[in-house]
Amino acid sequence: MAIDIKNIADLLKKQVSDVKLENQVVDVGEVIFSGDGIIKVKGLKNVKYYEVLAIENGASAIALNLEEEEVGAVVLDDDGSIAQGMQVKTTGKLMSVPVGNALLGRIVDPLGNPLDGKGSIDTDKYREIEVPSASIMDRSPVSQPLQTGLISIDSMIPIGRGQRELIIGDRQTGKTAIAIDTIINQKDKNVICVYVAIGQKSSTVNEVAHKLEAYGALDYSIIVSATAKDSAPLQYIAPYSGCSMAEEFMYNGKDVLIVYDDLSKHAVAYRTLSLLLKRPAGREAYPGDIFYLHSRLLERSVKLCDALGGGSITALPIVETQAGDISAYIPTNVISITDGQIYLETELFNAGTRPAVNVGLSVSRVGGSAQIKAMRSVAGTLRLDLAQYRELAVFTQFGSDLDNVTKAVLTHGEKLTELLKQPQYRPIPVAKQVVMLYVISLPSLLAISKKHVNKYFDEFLKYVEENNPAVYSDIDSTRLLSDENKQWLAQAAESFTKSFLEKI
Amino acid sequence: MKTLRVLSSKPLAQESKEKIENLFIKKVEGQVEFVYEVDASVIGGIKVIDGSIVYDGTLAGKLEQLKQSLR
Repeated sequence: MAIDIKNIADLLKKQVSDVKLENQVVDVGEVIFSGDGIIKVKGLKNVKYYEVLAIENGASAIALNLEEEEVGAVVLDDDGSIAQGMQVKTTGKLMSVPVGNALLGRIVDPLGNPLDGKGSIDTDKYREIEVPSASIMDRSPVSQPLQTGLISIDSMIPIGRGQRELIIGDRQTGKTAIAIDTIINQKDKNVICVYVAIGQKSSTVNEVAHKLEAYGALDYSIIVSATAKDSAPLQYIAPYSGCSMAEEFMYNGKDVLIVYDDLSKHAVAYRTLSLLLKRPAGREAYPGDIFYLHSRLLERSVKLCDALGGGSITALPIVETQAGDISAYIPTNVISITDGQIYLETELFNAGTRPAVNVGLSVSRVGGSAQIKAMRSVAGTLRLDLAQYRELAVFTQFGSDLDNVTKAVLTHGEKLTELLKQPQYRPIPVAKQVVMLYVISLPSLLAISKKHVNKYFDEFLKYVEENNPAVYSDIDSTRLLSDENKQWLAQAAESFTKSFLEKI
Repeated sequence: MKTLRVLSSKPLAQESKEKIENLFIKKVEGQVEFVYEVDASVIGGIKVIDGSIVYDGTLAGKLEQLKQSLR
C-alpha cells in the first residue's frame, strides 16, 4: 500500500516537473452578448479566424465573425452559464481534435470526447479540423476498387478508393443501410472506416453502433456522433472532425472510408449558425458559402500519390431529398461536387427492389477503372440489358401477345432484377458476385424462373465452394475469370440446374 | 496616448519600473503612459495589460497553466 502511494506521488512530481511553464501573451476580451449558443466579445484585437477561445466558465468557443468592434463566436459546450461581462481569452490554437489508433472502435463526439463509456481516449496526437486538401500534384488517379459487397453497386456503379460517391434518396429508402453494409464489407480488407452521424436521432446512432459491433466491424471503425440534441456548432464541425481523424490514417498510407450521414442536416446546422451570426441569408435562407461548406469537406477525400504513401479517403456522403426532388438546392450542390451518385427511389423500395437503386439515374464517374477485370467483363452488358428491359417492361401485361425476342429480353431482365436484390447485412464478396453474373447469362439458366433465382444462387454458390473453391480464390488472386474456370462453371451450372429443377 | 497597466503583488522598486518601461516602449507604438497597480491575486511576478493584450508573467498565470495541463 505504502509503495503504491509513493509511486503515485513520484508520478505526480514527475508530471509537474515535466510541464513547461512560460510567460504567456494572451488576448483578453469581455462578453457583451450571450444567447442561442453565440457570444459577442469586445476586445480580442489579435484573434484569428477559427481560433479557439476559452471562456471564464470553462467553455470553449470558435471565433467566426471578426468585426471592427466585436468578435462573434459560437460556443461549443454551452451549459447556459455564460454571463455578460465574463472574461474570454484566446488560446492561440485553431480548432483541433485528437486523432490516432486510440480512436478505433470508439464512439466520440466532434471534440473527441468519448461517448461510449469505455474510458478516456489515450492519444497525444492532434490535428486541426480545417486544413486545405492535398494539392493537385500530390494526388494520383483512382484505380483500386472499394467493394461495397452490394452486387447492384459493385457491378454497375463501382466505387474506387479515393472517390466521392453520393448516396441520395428520400427518407427510409435505405441510404444508411448501403453505408453500413459497405462498412461491414471492409472486414479484413485493411480499410479503416469512419461513420459521422450529423443531426440524427440518438437511437439511430445506437442501432448503427450495435449492428457494427455485431458484425465485427467496430474494431476498425470510428463513430463520430453529433446527434439532434447537440448544439448547431457541434453538428457543424462533426464532418470536419471525422475527416481529420481519417486524414491521420490516410497520410500514414492507409485506405479510409468515411460516411457523412447526412449532409442535409449538416447544411441546416450551418444555416442555423449563420443566421444567428446575422450573416446575410440567400436562397432558402442558406448562407452564401453553403457550397463551399461541402466542397471543402469533400475535396479532402483523395487518393494520394505513392510518394506520400498512397493512402486514400473514400467518401460516401448521404443527402436526403424531399419527394424525390434531386434538383433542389443542397442536392444539386452536392451532386456537382461528388464523382457520381447512387440514386435510391421510394417506388423501387416499396416494390421490393432492395437496394432500391435506380440504375438509370445512378452513375459512377470513375466507372470501370475501379473494378477488377473479371467484374468488368461480366458486368459489361448488365446496364444495357436492364435498360432494354425497362423500356419493354410496360408490355409485360400483354403476356402471350409478344414475339420471342421481346419475351427473352423481358424474362432475362426480370431474372437480373431478382439477382440484384440483396438482404441487409449480407455483403457478397466480389469473387462470388463475378460467378453470379457470369452464370446468370448462361443458356442453362433459361430454365430457372425468376422466383427461384435467389434460392438457386444461394445453393449454387455453396456448391461451387464445396466442389471447386479454386474458382473463388483464382478470381481473388488473379482478378480474372480464367477460361478454364468459365468452362467448369458452365458445366457445373448445367448439371446443377437439372438437379435443382428436380427438387422443386 | 496609450495606457499600460502594470500589476504586481507588491509595489515595484524604481529600477524594476525602469526595466519594464524600457522594454515596453520598444514594443508599443506612440506615446505610452504606465500605470502601476498592486494586486495580491497575481501572487508573484508581473502582468502588463495593453488594451486587450495581456502579457502574463505572473505566478498565478503559471499555476493556472499547471492546472490546465494536469487535467
